[in-house]
Amino acid sequence: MEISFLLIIFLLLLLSAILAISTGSASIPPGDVVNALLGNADTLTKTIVIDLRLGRVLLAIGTGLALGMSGCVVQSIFQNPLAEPYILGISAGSVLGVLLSLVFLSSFEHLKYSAQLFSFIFALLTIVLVYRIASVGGTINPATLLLGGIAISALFSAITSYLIYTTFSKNIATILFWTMGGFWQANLVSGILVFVVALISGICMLLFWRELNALSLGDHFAMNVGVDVSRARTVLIALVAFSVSFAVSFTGIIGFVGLVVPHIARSIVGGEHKKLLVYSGLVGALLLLWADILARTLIYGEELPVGIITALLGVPFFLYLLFRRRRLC
Amino acid sequence: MLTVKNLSVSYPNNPVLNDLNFVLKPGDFLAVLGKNGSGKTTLLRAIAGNVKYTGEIRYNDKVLTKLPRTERAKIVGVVEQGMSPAPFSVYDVVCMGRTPYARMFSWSMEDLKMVEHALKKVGVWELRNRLITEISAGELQKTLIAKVLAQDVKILLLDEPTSHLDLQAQLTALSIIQQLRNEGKIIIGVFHDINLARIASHVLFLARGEYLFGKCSLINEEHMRRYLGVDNQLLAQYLGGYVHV
Repeated sequence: MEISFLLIIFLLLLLSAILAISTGSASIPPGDVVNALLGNADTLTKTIVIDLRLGRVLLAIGTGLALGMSGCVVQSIFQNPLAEPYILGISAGSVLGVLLSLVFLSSFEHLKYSAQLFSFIFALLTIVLVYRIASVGGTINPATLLLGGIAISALFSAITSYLIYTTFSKNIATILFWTMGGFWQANLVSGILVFVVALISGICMLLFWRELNALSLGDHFAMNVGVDVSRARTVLIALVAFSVSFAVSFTGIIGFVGLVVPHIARSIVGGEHKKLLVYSGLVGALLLLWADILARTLIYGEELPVGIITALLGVPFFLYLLFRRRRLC
Repeated sequence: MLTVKNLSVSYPNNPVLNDLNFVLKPGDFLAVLGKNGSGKTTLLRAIAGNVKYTGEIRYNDKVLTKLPRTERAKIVGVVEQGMSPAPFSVYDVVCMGRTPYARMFSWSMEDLKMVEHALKKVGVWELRNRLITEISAGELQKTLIAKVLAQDVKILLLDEPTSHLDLQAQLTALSIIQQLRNEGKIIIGVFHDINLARIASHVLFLARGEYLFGKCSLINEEHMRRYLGVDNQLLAQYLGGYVHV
């Protein structure tokens, strides 16, 4: 039953990926997409499928994988169903890091991937700062955690807006890209990179499935079954910061995926992290793939930022969670 | 043998345990009694290593503070009160008791055998596929007792182990405690019910900084008045209606 369900999601992901590649200004039949991927197509089709669209699809899948799994980890280690990288300020920190590197290191063209490095450093800095704000005597206050995340996120967003306004203000596409997210700057290399980093980080997170299980029942519960809570939390936070900041440095801020996806996955497979993490990654990838397809096809001839689609899906769900919590209280 | 030597715990501006000393042998069962806020749960947390303390807690020749978390969890297990709600099955929670022994990505056959044995011993095998968010408080309590049995520890810490249990389930819990004592485990339980505390081998009264440790015969009128704040008239009434379990 479980294996067949996993198979269905895999097949759905594969079919969606083929559909995403075939959709665009030049429509390519799905059969030709498969042929091009297998190397049996004319040069033009191959160029469109592999050089232009495959990278974009891989970027969407990799970002969904990173945000879905990271959201699941963050919710479990902070025992907070409303936590996600976006709310904790990780994404805002990443974008600020990227922009600072673009502003101050743009003349050093030989410094490849300095944007990604800055993105990671700032993401890590943000999460450590928010964690410190919410930590009282070694325990985390969930309300302070969210408020601290919102405050730091607002501060970093303000600095980001200032940088964009003073440095890139003539380019409206840049502003849209960094604040609402999108995949239109994707290429095959960035797609492969984000996908591989998300996959490796995800596998590393999966190695901590026992710790995540115990941590989601509380810090004391985890300690009592032998989990070194502060070590596990530190490693997992670093993995989240790494995978999210890497994706964000290529896509901008895409909100609410990290919040919504783990809840959908939890309703399918329950709280056991060996399954939950895998499903969070797959559902995240599927969601972002479809958000990208919708972003490209909803308005003919135009492309919407993906962040608009994910926010339209995520905000009602977030409000539903808040109301449900209020009823439970 | 569990040795607690000069144990002190204080929260900011609030000393809770002060220079506590006692020794328990294999098979001993200590009932911890005291008013709310007297430090009963803090004592359990100190032995479990979840709060900072001064002094020494030793099991045989091992100083617990010096052991890594995994090794400590093979010696001390806790039946907790109050956990974050998460949709795990009863089976998953009992499996978590095997965390300190895990060596591979999946549970070993031995782990799964221990889990099955623990679930059956406590009588929750039929509930194994139910979510802990959907079972009664008593069933959750039994699940946590099964978890600590699967953990195969030497010292069991029970924070009000019979709360939420109906009379039949209380008797099951007490008979499991008796079996564990016969197997040489050391049991430390926080109790609010004096009837249940009387089946222990030792008693520890706690009252903010003060303590009294000894055999169960210490449960008398004077000590109950002094440490539990029970007045004479109520006490007489209470002892008049005493039920032997």
